Amino acid sequence: MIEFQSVSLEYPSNGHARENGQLALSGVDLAIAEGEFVCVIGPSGSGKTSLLNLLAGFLAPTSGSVLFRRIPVTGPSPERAVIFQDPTLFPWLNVRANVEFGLRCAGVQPDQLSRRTLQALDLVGLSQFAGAYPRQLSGGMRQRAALARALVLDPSVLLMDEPFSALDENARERLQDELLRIWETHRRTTVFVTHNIQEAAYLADRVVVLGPPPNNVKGMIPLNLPRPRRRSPAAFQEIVNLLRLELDRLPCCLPANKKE
Amino acid sequence: MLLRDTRVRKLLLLLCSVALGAMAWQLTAWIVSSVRGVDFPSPLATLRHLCGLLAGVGLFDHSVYRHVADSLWRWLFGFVIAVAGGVGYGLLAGHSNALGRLTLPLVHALQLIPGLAWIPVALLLFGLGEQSTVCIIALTTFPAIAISVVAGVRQVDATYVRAARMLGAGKKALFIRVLVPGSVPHILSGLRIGAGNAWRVLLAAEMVVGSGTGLGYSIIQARWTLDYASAFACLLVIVVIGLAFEVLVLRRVEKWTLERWQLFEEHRRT
Repeated sequence: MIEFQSVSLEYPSNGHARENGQLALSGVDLAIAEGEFVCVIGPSGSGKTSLLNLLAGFLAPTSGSVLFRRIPVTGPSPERAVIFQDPTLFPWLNVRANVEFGLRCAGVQPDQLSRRTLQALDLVGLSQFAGAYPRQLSGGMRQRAALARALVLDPSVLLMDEPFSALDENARERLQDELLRIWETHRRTTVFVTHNIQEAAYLADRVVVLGPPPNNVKGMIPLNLPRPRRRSPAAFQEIVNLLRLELDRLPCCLPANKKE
Repeated sequence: MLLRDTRVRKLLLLLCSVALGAMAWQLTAWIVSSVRGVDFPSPLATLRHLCGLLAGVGLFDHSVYRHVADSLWRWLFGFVIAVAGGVGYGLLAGHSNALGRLTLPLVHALQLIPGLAWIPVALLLFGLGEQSTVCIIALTTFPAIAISVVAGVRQVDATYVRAARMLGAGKKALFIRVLVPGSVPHILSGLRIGAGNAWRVLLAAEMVVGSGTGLGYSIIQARWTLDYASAFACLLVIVVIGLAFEVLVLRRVEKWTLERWQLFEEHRRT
């Protein structure tokens, strides 16, 4: 469903002609199947977010191509919904209007509009907060609202960029469970960037390990843990340890990309 | 109980600062009267005179209410023109890079021109009278508003733009539903600056353009007829109107924006 074909991405230098741009990705080949839940892990600066931004269509590859259903990605689209690290809800709209935003852009009829909106809010457990403004919500609730805003458009792919990293432990685990519950019902292809090993082990069908360029994809680890998973058993710990080992082989502190 | 206490304290503080101002004024009046031998209206005399005016004593052929109403009307008229132009232009120039680059230097140049310097231009365009005053107000207020709005559109967070595009917003929807509401705090601060500019330049313009009515006109007439008490009374009226506008309109608008747009600031800090 998704294919990266020898993709490279270079951020332009800040106007200095002599300086070379900063290489974020190079030689990336990656295929993601329909319905797959893929987690992308790696140290900061390894191009995780760049990879996601290419897929979302916010950035264009310097060379190579990013294909979605065999067609090159040329720009953002509601079929590839993004959940950002920061919920980026529009602060001037209440939760309901935030969720309706995409439907209105698509010109959905009013009766459909409110039905689908309420459904989406119900799905993430925010029905009672439809009238609240983002600033009145906790971080976890904001991220739920962002999830509803994306899901209401019934996207083919969910692209999630460290969506739960700013939340406290409890809220994070709850949201992971909700995400899995929603994913189990639709089996919507999901690409989930995280730096949290436990999170990857808990969520993913397959973990992609990224490192610094060239050839950012350093490892590809299928997780054959049965679902629903629990966070405690030995098998789970084994996976966590394995992933940790993979990450430990990479340099820890890469320079951050300037223009992500 | 506590709330009432703080309110009482606030009121007392306000009264004290008014008293302080009145004392400074009174002191000035005494010194000027005794040193220069001219009659400098004291606070009390001014207040008494103002009460007379409010009770219906005429001021240069008109009631004081007529003067206030005419001034406010001109102010509103000029201000609305400046807002329509400034917000409209600002949104477009902030959105379109080409338009912004081409025209923004001109707007910055306009801003350098002090209000009263427009008088010859306004007189050439409209002659003596109403339209000239309004024209001067609009010309001085427009750049301040336009520049704030341009800044407002440009500072709208790129992540909001990304989110909107991902949700399927086309160019038009992006502009109307993200860039415009996203720049509301800046637009409002532009309006706030603009309203103050307009009010000050209005009073000055009325002194020169020969409007025949208005607070500025009254002050300058009082100066020619040596009716200083009336001039001082007009000054008091101007202060009261300004304060009323601040409390009744600006503070409420500011509270509303803060409540709704506060997230911007949080966003910056994290």
